[in-house]
Amino acid sequence: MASNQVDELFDHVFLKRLEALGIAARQLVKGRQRAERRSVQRGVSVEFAEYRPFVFGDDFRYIDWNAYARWRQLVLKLFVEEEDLHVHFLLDCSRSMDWGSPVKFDYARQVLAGLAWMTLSNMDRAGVVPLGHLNLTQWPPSRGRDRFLQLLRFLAACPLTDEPPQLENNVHRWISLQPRKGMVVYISDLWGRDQDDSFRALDRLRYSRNEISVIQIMDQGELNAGAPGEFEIEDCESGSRRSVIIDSRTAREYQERFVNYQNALRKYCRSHQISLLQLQTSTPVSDVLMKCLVEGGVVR
Amino acid sequence: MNFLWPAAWGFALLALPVIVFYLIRPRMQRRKVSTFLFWDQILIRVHQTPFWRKIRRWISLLLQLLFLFLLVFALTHPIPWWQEKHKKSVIIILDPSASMLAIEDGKSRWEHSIELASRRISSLRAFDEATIISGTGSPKVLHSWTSRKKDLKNALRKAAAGRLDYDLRPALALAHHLAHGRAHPEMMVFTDGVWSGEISPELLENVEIVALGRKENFNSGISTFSVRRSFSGPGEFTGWIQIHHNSSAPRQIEVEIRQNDRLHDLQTVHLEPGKPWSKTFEGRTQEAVQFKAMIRNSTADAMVVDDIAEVRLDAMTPVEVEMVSASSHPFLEAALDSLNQVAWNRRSPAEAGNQLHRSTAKLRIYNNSSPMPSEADKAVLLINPKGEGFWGREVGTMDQPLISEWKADSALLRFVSWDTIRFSNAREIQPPPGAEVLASSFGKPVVFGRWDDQQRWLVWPAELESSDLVFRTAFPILLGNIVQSLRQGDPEASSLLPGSSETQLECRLSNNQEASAMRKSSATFAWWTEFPLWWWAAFAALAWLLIEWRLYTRRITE
Repeated sequence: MASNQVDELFDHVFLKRLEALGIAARQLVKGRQRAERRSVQRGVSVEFAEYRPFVFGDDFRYIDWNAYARWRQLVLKLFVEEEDLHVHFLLDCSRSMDWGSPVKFDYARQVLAGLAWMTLSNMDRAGVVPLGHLNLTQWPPSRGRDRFLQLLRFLAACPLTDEPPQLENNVHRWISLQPRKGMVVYISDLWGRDQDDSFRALDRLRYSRNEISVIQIMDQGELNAGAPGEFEIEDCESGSRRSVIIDSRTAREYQERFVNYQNALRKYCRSHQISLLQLQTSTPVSDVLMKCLVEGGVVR
Repeated sequence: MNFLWPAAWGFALLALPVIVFYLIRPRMQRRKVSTFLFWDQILIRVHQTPFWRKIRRWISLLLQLLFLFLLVFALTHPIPWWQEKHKKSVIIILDPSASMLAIEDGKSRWEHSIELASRRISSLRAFDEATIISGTGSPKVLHSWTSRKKDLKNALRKAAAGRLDYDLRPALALAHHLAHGRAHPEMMVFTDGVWSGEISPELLENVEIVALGRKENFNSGISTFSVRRSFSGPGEFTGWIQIHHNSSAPRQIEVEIRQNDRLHDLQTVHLEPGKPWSKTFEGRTQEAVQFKAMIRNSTADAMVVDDIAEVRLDAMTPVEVEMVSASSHPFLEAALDSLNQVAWNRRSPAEAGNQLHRSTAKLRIYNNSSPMPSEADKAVLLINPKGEGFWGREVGTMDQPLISEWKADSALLRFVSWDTIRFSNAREIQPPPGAEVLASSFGKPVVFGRWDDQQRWLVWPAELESSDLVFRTAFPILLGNIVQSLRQGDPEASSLLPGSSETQLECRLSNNQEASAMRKSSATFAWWTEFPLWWWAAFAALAWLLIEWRLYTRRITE
């Protein structure tokens, strides 16, 4: 059962580790300016970016007269605008996340908290979007580490949804809110209503022209069919039940399907240059965060 | 079909809880899974399994009920319909002859017969009965009628072979007698076909012969070994050995005869197939002698018991003769002294009469005296008896009789010549009816009497001195023949054979048919008949249980 207690979810040990990770994060980016996400915009910094031909409507104050004297052509001088990154953490709140030991939802929230802390340490904006709820209650992208505790409280209070699994619809619902483009960290187990649901969701994210990173969270018990025998299996999400006899062949087929699905995910992400991190809840959260920090695959 | 314990059917009620447990479908263990994403396709395949897979549970119930039924069926101790009729009375006849000790394929025929008889006993039904007879000369019932298999098998174990006094005919006759009155008798004889004599078809009627032994046996054995005293001379004996060879190939053996453990004769013998070999040997001794014949250098044949034979010749014992005479008679005494192995003494008639009942003499010679009437059944020689008695009646006198005729072929008159024997006078005695006249004088009996198994008395109707017998050898020879005839009644040779035989008569070690075996019929008992029906039912129940466990536990879904 997922926890909704802040102290239980983010204990002092966890927070200490986050602090250490934050220091490490700052050391890695030492020498750079903060909020280093650059965009070529009209900005007021001193760093020259490029020239652009003057068109009707541009601000004539930015005309570079020296360039005109040289080329007899009206051009605008553009400068690099330093702006902060919007990191949108999409958290899958479907019932399938309420499974495992430790519960995947708790694990996901811890990972999210860690990544959010690193984001905030970089003076970027971190926002949390709980997917699956019809009335979306978001944590809007915010900057500043002083907001971190509130973020933790928000995460702890985040409920699981009772809606049926529909990854694509959840993502679409969020995209329809037209969030600011930035980086999307999709934290989910990617168990949709069918095997293509997750791929459709990722397509939606790609179409939104955000930088996408996917963190798939699984439990050890999901990797295989489990102990042999005759069981009545119950779906966490839908509550439906089925009778099944788990023998060697059944276990083999389950394994085969699972591996195929995972491989398909990896192949999809590789082909679309989506960063994918497949985690098991048996891996300590601090190790995951350090890995993200050092390898830079998810967090840059 | 009958059941020995029909109350056991009550255990069939155990089927009710079994059915109830199956009807109350146990709740399956519930397991929560995070998603059906990977189960959906598998579950579709499982639900498309064949019909019988879906009713697997009910098949399991049926198997368990079948197991319960078979177990209960076994407990009721069923008697199938083909067995409940006709209580059988089985008579088992064993052949204890020495030939049954022949070793074939590592075990003797006797052991084989015991094994077959034991198996037949095991196949008896609960209400059958059986008895066991040993085919000895006087048939012996090893166990009377009983249904207890254990007792019958114990009796089989205690039986032994190697008997010389075997004869299946009395045993078969006894078997027919026992079978008479039984509703469904079954007579079986376990034999190798080597019988002491022909068995009539009437005795073999309705008798099943379980033939043992191979048709062809390689065996050479001593069939006869006997020794007897020779009457040609004192202390002389004659022995005879015969060896039979039953084989299609000739064989060379050595025959050794020992006399009191000292080598008497050693001879190499070449045996021809089917031809017996025999030899006689002689000797002289008045002492007891033990003879032993052995076949040496013989490769292992079917029977080794007949390679050795022993015979014992008892010592010559003096014949006690009592002369009843009022006075000494030199001639008679000298004649008695001349005989070997004769111990004589003289008594007066009065003494003889008083001590008649204590006398151990085998022969009494009454000289000029008459015996008591009670001595009619004893061996007596009456010389010049007076009056009348069991020996006859005096009817007159014969003046100077001359023996004109005598029976030379009589054993008593062997080598006795009555030529020119003269008497001065002799009594004329009328012999009693049944008396045999051995010598007569022109029709008038001179030497007469009875000398057979029932009576032994002989009459010489004159004084010895009244004739010239005192100068002749006739009378001593006659006396010697009389004494010798008394020795013929004694057992002169006894054979000691390997095994438990203790017969004291001269006998043969084995008959001439030792090595041949007639195969009449061979009975084989199916091994499964040893087990009753209930045992098979229990076994089937266990097998069903294992099958059901195997199918149900493995949860085969293919």
